[in-house]
Amino acid sequence: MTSTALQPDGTARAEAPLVSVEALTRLFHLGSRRSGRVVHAVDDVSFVLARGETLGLVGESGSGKSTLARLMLHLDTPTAGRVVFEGVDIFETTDSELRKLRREMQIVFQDPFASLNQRKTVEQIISFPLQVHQPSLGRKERSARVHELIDLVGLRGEHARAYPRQLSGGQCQRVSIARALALGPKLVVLDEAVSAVDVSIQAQILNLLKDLQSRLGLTYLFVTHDLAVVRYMASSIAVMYLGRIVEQGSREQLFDAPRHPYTHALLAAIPPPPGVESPPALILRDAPTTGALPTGCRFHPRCPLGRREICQTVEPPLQEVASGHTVACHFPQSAESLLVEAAREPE
Amino acid sequence: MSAVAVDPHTDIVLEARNLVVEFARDREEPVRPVRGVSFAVERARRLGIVGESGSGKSLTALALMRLLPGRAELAAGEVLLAGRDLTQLDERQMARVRGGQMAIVYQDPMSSLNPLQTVGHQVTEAIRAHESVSRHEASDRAIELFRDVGIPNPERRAEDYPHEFSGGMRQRVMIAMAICANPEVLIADEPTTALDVTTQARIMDLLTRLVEERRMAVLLITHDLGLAASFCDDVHVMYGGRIVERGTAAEVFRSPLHPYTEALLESICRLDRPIDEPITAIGGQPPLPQDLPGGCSFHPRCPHAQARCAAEAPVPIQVGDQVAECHFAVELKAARS
Repeated sequence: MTSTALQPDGTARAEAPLVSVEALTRLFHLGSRRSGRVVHAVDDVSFVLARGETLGLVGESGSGKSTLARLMLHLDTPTAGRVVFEGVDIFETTDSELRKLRREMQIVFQDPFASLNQRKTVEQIISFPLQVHQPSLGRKERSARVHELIDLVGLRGEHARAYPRQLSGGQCQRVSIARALALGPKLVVLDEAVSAVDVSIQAQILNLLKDLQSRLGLTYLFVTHDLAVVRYMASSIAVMYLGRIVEQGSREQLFDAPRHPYTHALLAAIPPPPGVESPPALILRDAPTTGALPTGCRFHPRCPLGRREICQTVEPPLQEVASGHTVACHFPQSAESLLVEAAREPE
Repeated sequence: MSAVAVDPHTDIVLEARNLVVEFARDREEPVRPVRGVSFAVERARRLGIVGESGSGKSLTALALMRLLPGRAELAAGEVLLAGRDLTQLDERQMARVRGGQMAIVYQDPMSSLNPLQTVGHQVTEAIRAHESVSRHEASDRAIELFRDVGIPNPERRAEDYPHEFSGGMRQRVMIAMAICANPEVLIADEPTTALDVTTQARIMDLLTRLVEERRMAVLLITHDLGLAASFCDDVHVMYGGRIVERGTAAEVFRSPLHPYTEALLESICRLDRPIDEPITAIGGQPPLPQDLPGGCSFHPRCPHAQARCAAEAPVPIQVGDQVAECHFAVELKAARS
């Protein structure tokens, strides 16, 4: 789906995005405030989420992608910046407004076993958000809605009375999805939602998520470390590194013409599909373990070009290299030319 | 099932014969998560055992080391390491084998390291456990090992504690400890599953180099077909406690024989797949050992299943250099080509 909708007179108009994230920052202070040690979990991040679309957020551990996911749902409070959901800044709401907003945005976590209450049945788990947010719903109506949801996510009626431990990982993840959909949200944040399920189950869940999106018009923020999965799921993609977006663009731009060395490294690190030769490897240097944020470009300690002075001193801003394609790098270029250039760098 | 044919001209270091792992034997029907697994690894070769959760792959690895968790036991089978049956050793002899001739690297390095001791101390102790050398000499060797596995500033880092290392560096420490006594066999149980993709690639590069330099036999246990395909010479696919397909990595991935392997390869979300078509998923769930389907354990999920598949467990069928436990391996192979 695109972000345009037809007017009653048949003309297309640009629709306001469902969510816009503006200069969002979340710092964590380590130890006492005076110790001055600060983790920049999310640092000046901006993007928009168009209605009915999927934005993929890619990063490794420590990139800040999960903190960002939590901020999007007001499960955490930012140090600075805004998240605007349908025109409302979610951090500037009254409690009752926030409660209403919560119905519109839901999250599915990575570990389906840990995120489900082991003492409740599937029916109780899925009906809980209905009890909280739609208390006027009668018991019969609620049960009917739960069974509708169970059916929607591809579980069977008899699963309603099962406990999570009686289900497989894939089935538990379907329960999590049903619970997230119970209140008819517009936005669903999927935080590594298929990372913990078995290979043979991952495809089932991905197909289900795509199917639900087209049937219900859902908007997804798809958080993952898996590039192959994000390519399949997301029409636009942002790559995060140490709290910042370092490259952002459409699926085609990111996969056919990536420009940031970190994106190249992520792509080169995927074992090629069985039977396909690996491309020439782009070797990253080892990450510093000091915990302090690097000066200049935060990627420079690992970058093959990172010994250059400008990289060590000046933080590169996100700059447009093509329409809608932004890169935060002083030397944005293709993987081929980066390999050539890296080989010429003095040791 | 018959054991893997042993060719006297090959260089087999480790051979597992008909391993059976059982849980809690007081029940009438013991649960068997591993049901007759046989394989052999040669010097300087890399064998991958690929499977999903519940397939029995990790229990197989633990059975080799005689490290099965409490309620599980090796009910049958032999583990031959350089011709010696490890199942017959007493616990003291076995302790010398572990970390000596045969070492293991686990998924989670943090839980395998002592958080209260420096990494240098831990590797030094590991060296002294297998060889009578002075503390000083062992400590020098530990630093050399750290250098060899790519830990920068090894003299200084040896003084650090595990929490001061990143996940990738911790796994390098574990690898240094695993190779400290020059093992003949290295078992790597999901060694990179807990690591980031860029770190994973570097750890696999390191393992590749070490295996070539030291001519170790490697057993890689993984759920990741792509990883097995890129790292291993041979691949065995496990399902429901049995090896259902075996062959060279190239063959198994290019032309899988077993419908499970074929379906699994189809279901991987590959970087080159079309984005607007649904992925061909395998229906159902991987079976649990306590309620394994009768006949061929894959039959409820198999698109080619027939009445015979539910009634009768398949025997291994050889087609070319590949072996698969499927009644219709030959027919399916012919139909595919």
